[in-house]
Amino acid sequence: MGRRETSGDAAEAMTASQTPWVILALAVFVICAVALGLTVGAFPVTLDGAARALGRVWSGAGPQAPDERVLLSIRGPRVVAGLVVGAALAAAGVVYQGLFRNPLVSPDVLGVTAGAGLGAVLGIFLSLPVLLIQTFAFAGGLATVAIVYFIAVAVQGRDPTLVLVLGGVVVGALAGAIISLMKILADPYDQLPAITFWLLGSLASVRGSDLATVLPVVVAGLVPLVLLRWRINVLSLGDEEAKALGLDAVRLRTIVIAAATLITASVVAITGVIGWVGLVIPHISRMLVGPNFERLLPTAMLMGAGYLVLVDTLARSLGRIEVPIGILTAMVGAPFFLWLLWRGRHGWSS
Amino acid sequence: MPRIDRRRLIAGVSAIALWPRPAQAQRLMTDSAGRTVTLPSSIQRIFAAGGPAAVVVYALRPDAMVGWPRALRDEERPFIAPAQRDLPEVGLLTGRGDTANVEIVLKMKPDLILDFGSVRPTFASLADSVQQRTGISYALVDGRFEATATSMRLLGKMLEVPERGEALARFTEDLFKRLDAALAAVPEQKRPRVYLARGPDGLETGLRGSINTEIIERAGGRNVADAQDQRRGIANVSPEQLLLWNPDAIITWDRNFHAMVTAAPAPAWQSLEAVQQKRVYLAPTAPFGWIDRPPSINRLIGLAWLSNLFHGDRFAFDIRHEARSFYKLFYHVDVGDSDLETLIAWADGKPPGMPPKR
Amino acid sequence: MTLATHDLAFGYPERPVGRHVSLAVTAGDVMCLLGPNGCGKTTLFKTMLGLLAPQGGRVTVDGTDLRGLSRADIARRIAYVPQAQGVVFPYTALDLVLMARVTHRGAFAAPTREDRMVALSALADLKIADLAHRDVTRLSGGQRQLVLIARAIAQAAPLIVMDEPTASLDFGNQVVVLREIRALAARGAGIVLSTHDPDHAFAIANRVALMHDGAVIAAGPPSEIMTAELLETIYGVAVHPEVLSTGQTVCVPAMT
Repeated sequence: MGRRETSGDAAEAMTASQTPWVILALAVFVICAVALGLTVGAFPVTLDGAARALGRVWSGAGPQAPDERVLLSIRGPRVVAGLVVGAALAAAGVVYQGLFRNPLVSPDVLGVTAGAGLGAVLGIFLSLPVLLIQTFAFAGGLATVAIVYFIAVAVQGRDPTLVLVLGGVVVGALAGAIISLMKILADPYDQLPAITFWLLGSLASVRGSDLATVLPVVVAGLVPLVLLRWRINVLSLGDEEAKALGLDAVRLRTIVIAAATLITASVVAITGVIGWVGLVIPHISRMLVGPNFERLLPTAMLMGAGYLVLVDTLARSLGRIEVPIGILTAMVGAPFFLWLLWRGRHGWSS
Repeated sequence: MPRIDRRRLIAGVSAIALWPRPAQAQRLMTDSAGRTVTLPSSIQRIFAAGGPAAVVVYALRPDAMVGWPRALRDEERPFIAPAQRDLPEVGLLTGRGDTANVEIVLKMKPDLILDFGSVRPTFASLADSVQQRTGISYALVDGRFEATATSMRLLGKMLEVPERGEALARFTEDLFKRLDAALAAVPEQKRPRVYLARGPDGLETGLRGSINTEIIERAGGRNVADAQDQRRGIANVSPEQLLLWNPDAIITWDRNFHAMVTAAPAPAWQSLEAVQQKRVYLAPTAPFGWIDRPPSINRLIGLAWLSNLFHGDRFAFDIRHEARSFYKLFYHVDVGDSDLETLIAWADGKPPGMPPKR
Repeated sequence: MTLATHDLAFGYPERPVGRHVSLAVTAGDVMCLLGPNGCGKTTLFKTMLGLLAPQGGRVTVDGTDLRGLSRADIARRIAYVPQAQGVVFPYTALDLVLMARVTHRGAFAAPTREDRMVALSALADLKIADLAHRDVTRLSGGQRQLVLIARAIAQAAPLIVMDEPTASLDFGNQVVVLREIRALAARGAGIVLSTHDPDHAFAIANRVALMHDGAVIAAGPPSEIMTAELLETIYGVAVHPEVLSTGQTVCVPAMT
């Protein structure tokens, strides 16, 4: 049999053994991003201050000095939120890309972001307090995916994943249209700016209590995904092969979608719409460690976590006024992605 | 007595009878953007292009209003004169949301479309475009605080109510004069640093110099939200930045935010001076906002209220008396006792039930 | 272990393909399904694996109807080698072969060292151990086919269904695969495969089924079934089976 040695093949052969180094490098990256995130910001905080604040957390005492207060009440939750949201979105994105066997898929594909956006916009429109707005967003995200899922079950098409994607596109577009309608009906001096900013996404208003609520939900969604990594590989071969190899493809897909939706809806509820993380980070991870989910999922989660913390630090330190993070994730992610493509390292079959 | 020449009489009468008269007496006036506007002699119907204009038309010519940009909420109705309470909702024409179908505007058959606010070239050209499309005269009047008196007089003339315009202008001038006299002795550094909290989480604000926050400087405060670049308008801030600014006072009209920050302040707010000193002020919004929403002449009562909050020792403000007379002068209502109590309680941080019902 | 169809009617909901198919493959058998393009071999195989619902009749494994078995149960009994299609993701050959081991482990498991040994040995059996860490999307169609066969081997199921396993292989690789099939049968597997080349049937099959227009027109040992007349019926060209001095039979088409 012939052997076609190209540089790409040699690179592929290296990937498997490179993985532990990649994971290590990413862990270091995350730690650096966290350190940067904790020390950079409008309020002057040093590493010493960060250490002191950590000490207070350890001892259980409250913050004593102003910089400790900033770290524990404001910057700390924000950095943790960046880690959680980044990891969650990247995980959801990478799983969906495998599930739908499509590189253009992001966590929004089934409409969860549009649905969450609709819920939040409704909450803002009705002048509800923040907690209710978040609850509406979460419920909206879940409801939208449920609707798409039931549409897919009802249609019973030959290709279930295609029906899901199309259903998601349609329902997501519908939700988007209703959002636009609400924007027009909203008070331009009062609600419209709030709606606009929510849709641009921000980690600024994430509180410790928000995290305390969302973290268990995200973990509840991530755990099955991490445990089922190997089987998700098989699922990515397509329904027929997956079934032939012994998997209940329909049930597995349902579980994966439910988990990914839970993750995405809960983070979107507290931060608004942050795009690009769920699309680009999976790609870059795949380029680094290949498509095998056993390696890919942890890699994507680490990369997403560090990336979002980094970008958020940038968003709040570029000036006095925050740059909405959704804008930055696109502006930072897109050129990097283009550069990787140009270098020729495809994470996809060509 | 000289004999009246019958021929001359007939000629004279015919001349008078047949003399070509203009179909309808028209006036030409110049609006604040320098545009020449053709006005019919008698204006019976006015379409307000946006929220600010609606307040102005209601104040000057309530009889000529064809509708409100947005339907009144239940809690706003008691503060609007009965005749105008049930006017239809006609949508906005300019501003950030353009909902008034031009056809609806045409159906309303207004004699004049009025806009009150920015007179920058963008809006002037928008005015020209709408005027061309509809054939209805469109007047653009300056809505900045400083221009209020001038604009009131201009509008008084334009809308054929010069006495009302004069009254409103005089009220404004008196207020500004009283205020300036009180603030004359207060140097810049002694003026309180103020943050305007918008949105349910309070992290949205208006930058210094924006129309949403000019009331702060006018009332003798200093807006902390200074982007230090050319930007005006609305922006989001991070809680850290807020901590750094540490404003002396916080003003808002969002009831949810106010409830949160006074009853159970989130960590980001707890350490702020203004929160700890309980200097978080909630502005009423019935029938229109006292400090914004919309940014129009409704802010004048809020201006007096804020000036007293910021400089109580120099600027007196008897809320009971001032609210009553302002609402009578501008909004044509005699505020009942219980409604007045509602307003006073609201301005004291106890608003009527939330969320507001439409 | 026996895989059997009983008066099976098969096809797609809008398009029936075949009827009255009754076949049985048991341990040690190598059954070749011969038939022209489009006669329904792939559809039949998919129905035999439970990937398509039967339109009539039933499919059983050791007497148990497939419909009563879970996918995992079926996969532990029957392995499938589909025709090589494009793989969307650049998995390595080893990863792809390892996927066959999911039914041997629990739901939340990762592949064990034993799984890896089985996978590598399957690749070695087909002489493609050096492809283990290569990206399958960059392999030739034939190499990919071999990887899929290795996967079926790694699945360690007593029955194997192979859909044209030699289709894209060069002459040498065809022989490798045929030899491997015979070796698997000798070790106790029951294999049914479809092929275009009647010579393959003569080489390895102990049972042959001839398909034409969705029906099995003859089934039995190759020497009885693969007559010139029947071959001409299904292929539409004149063919002469010839017995060589080695005892092997080959088919020689008439070129005029």
